[in-house]
Amino acid sequence: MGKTSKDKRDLYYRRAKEEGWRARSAFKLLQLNDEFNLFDGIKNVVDLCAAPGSWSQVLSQKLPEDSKIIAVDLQPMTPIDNVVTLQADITHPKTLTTILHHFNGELADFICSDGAPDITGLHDLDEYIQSQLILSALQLSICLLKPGGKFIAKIFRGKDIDLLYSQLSNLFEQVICAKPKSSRSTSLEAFVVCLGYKPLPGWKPKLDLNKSTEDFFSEIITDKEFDIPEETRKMVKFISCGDINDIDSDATYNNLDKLTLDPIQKPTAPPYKKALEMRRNGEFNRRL
Amino acid sequence: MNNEISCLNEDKFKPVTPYGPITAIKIHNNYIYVGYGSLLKIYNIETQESVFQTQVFKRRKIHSIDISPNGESVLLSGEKSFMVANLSDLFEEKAEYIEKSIHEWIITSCFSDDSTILLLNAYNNVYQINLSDYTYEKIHCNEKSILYSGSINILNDGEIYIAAGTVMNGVVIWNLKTRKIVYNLKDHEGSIFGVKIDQTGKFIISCSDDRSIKLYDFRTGNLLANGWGHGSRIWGLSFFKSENDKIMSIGEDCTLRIWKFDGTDQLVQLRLYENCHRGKHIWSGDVDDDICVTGGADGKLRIHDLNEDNQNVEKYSIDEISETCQFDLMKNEFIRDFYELETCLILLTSNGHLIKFEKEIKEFRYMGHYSTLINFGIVKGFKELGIVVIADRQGDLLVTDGDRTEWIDSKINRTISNIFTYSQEHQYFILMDCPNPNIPYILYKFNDSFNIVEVKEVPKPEKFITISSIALDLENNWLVLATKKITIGIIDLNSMESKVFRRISQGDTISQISIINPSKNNLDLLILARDGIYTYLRTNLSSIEIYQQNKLTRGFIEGGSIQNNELILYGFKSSYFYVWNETRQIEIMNQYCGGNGHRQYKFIKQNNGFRFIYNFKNYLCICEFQHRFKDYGLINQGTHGREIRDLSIGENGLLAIIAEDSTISLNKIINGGVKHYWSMNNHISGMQRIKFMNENYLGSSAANEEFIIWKLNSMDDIPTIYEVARLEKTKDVPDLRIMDFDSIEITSDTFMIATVYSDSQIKIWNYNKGFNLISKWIYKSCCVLNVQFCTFGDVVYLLIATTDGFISVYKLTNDYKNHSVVLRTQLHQSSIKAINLYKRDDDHYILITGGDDNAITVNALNQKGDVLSIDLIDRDEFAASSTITSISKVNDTEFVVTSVDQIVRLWSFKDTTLKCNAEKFTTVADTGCSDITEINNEKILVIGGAGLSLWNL
Repeated sequence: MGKTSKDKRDLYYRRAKEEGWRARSAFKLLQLNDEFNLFDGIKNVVDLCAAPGSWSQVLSQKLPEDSKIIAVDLQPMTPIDNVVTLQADITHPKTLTTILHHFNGELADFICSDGAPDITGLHDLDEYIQSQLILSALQLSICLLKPGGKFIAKIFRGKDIDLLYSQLSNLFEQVICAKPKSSRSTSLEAFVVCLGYKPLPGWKPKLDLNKSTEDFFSEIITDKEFDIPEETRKMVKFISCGDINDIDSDATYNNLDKLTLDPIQKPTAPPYKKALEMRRNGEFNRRL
Repeated sequence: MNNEISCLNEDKFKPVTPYGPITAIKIHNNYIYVGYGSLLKIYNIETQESVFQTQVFKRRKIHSIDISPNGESVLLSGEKSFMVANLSDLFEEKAEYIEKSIHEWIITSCFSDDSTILLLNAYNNVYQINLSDYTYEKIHCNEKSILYSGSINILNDGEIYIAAGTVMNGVVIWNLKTRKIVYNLKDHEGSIFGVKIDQTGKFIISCSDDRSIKLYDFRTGNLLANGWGHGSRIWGLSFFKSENDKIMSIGEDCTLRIWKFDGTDQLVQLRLYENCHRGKHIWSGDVDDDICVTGGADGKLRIHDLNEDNQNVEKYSIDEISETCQFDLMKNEFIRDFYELETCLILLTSNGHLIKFEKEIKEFRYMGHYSTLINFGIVKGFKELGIVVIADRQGDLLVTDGDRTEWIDSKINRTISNIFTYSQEHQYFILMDCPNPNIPYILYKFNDSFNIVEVKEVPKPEKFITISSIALDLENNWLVLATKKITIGIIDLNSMESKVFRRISQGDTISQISIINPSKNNLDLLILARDGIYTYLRTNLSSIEIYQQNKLTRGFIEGGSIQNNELILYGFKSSYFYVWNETRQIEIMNQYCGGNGHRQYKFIKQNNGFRFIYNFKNYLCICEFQHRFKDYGLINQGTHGREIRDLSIGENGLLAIIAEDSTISLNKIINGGVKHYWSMNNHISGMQRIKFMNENYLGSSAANEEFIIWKLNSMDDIPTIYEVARLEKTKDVPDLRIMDFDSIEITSDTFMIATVYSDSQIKIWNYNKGFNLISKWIYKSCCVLNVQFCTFGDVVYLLIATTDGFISVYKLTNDYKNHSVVLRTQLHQSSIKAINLYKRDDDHYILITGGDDNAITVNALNQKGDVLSIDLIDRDEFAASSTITSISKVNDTEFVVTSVDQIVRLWSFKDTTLKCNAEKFTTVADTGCSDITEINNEKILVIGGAGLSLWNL
């Protein structure tokens, strides 16, 4: 979250700054919780792809003090009270071991992921990378979740989302597509809420660095190699979360004062920072 | 649940023409193989004609193409699919397309020999597959990084190296046989989008998020050079086929760049092709030695000529010229002006030396020194006559064909400011202008032997100071003069009466005025203004009407012409001269020349190209550009290069589209395809809605509180579009969007209009040339997404749909000034994204709604007596797997629905039950809008999103 003109138009964005959240996405988890009471009776919690940490902030505030919250991300994160931050790869078996160690060998009650990749603009690639992110979160979750546990993840409702719904429905009692009011209706973003984890009988999932997420799940897929898979698609229930009188993230609100607020956390430098500097200094384009 | 999710009675839809991102290109022998989404298209390079086109994958897009070493088979792969097909079967249309699949995304694929293929997946694994029985081996290097890019490189020595471009972990190079990692190159920041090794095994090149290209020594892994220049992400790069020190790169910034490694630590940018596609993103490209082919998000395929002879620049320094011509150069002497004839170029220096440059033998020859041309001299000419005319300060004309020179006494005897030339059908004119506003212009007319046949004094129109361009309409005998601030004067040369049209529009100096169409008492003009505005207008001398007007955002316009019904413009942008095809929205060429400044230049159209002659730092530069490929190398037409947000079909297949690139395009559906005419830049951002209001007017709404009314017309059978009115802004909130609008036609030029806003406002306007606000109110605090009028008898109602899932109906008073809510009901959980409301009969309307909640509802709006009611006919909460984005009516009981899950569905509600009758996947991602029209008794469905698709119903 930078210091931008968004302050003037996005009420959630502004409120996030005022209330000390590191990103406006905090409201998405709060609204999901209002609908599904996600935080009831949970103790061991994992927040995947957690940076900058707004969901961990929510968890830290809303859960009892004796809960164990672990936030994992490849990027470094500023510490949060009562949250263990791990800079680690969620597909690495060692990460699983570390988390289990923090839980004293107990399993997790709740795992969430608000991760999204950088968008290229090539829709099929973007959707694939997002699905890989979800499947990576899911494979760790499968090794980590207590039977009956909950899993929620950010999804983009693109062309193959019904394949994912079908896959998730094999592993959870209930799968719902939820869209908090704080998520713009112009965005394809939504959240898949999976309740009641039911481990597949006889399957002992194991993280392996040399396996792709597809390899991991292939143990429960029976397709012959190279055949176009029999695609099982499934539609799931849609629930809009948040009160009807909540702020509408698509609306424009007038009369906001012009003051811009400092961001709670400075944005990280983009990979193209050097290119911007060079262009500014006229060092671009060596011509003959 | 009524529908079976993704495919049902698919033959009810017949895809005709798709436009969308080009995801793979391979040049092989004389053919270009193109992955056009799920389609394979093959073009002959020589003829630029399509020789093959078929949808080979069911849903997935082709991302990689390779041809077997024996040239008999083609390997296609993309997403998780791959396929090998026999090429001769393919051309004979008897190939079987057997799509195969692996579990992971395939980054790239190639033949390692005629019977073995290699697939690199996104987990850095290689499948080595024997094609005879599809037995395979999965090979990895023990480094399971997620890849964004990669290449399989078969070097000349037979070794195979995998170059993997990872999301987080730099470049990994490994040997397929030994499975050993050779290098892990971590100099880039961010994701790697392209990496290749040259065939000789000398270099590695890579590009990434950090906008740099890096060239490494393959033998040491040392970074040798960086290439900087791309303005945003670089999507791909490639070595030239036979010169491994040359590289092409393509990117998000819509540029193609050619680089050379010259041993230093910075790659040299040899060539820059800017705006060679529309919008954003060149996704794919391939290079041979002297051609390069690119494919964009705009669906255009372009072949670029890399042969340097076809854009050649010769440079001659003024010192070199004075030396060969043996005259003494004064300090600071420069080439004042020049004019080119068929065989030679005539130059005048600032000190009055006249020089001839023989084009054929490339030699300069001294013609003499003219004292009256010291520090003044306007060089013009008539190429058809082979004559150059140089005016001195007193208006006397030095005439030369390059060999003989002769003075013509203008008999003016006073200081002139400028001369203008004009010629048409063996008549040649010179107009002389003096600084004194009271002195008339003198118009000389010459014959073919360049003898003066007529001299006319033409009185200056009042307050008409500096002329910048002239044109003569010989049909009506009108003289057209152009000046600053888009002001033109027209003088009837018979009566000498003049008419001035001042400030026809916003804009600066007119750089060129030209006649499109003279007819009796009517004149069509093309006016080009330096600051980028071009205008088509029609005048009858007493009034003018603008037909078409737009402003270029890329640079300045110095001149242009209409060629084969396409508008070609040229001018300067930053340090470049450029030639732009406005109709096709592509740059034709550019030349680095230091920008405009007060640069002396001439642009000459030739048979098969053009010449651009200019001064640059003490040099006379002659740039010759030749078209090697027809249609500027454009092989496949495309559409917007950004996501299409809305579209509307009007009369005669006229198709208006708005897209994320903030432009409105005006197109026509012709022969199942889309022909593009104009791309309008009037909106700033956040396009929301476009709709035909009647056959003469179009409306569009966007962010920044923009609502524009466009007048539609046609000139020479080309549809034209011109902004006639826009709403004034009331708030300084850029995010205040006009989400939708609707209109009721009062007369063919006047309307009642409703606009709805993202801050919950609803406004009613009367439009009669200008807007008159009749009424405004606020719904609640949420965003209003849709609005439509409906009428029962004399009673007008306004229906709105909002982000809270409600529809509300207001009854309006006859004068539209007051409103009362008569209905309010929740039909969806959240945003109602699409509505379709149409009259079924006098007493009821049908309202179909689609929501962000994946549901659709069908309702009847009934009026009984004075009471309006809404009755749900049926609803389906599982109408799609994703947001519903548009609803198009087929007939009274059938409609088509698009949704972001990329399934197009045909629904009916005959027996009060909603039924899905057909479902078919569309390759258009981010599916966001649709409309249906009927052309030649055929129903055509147009689907818009990240691309455009035309289907027959």
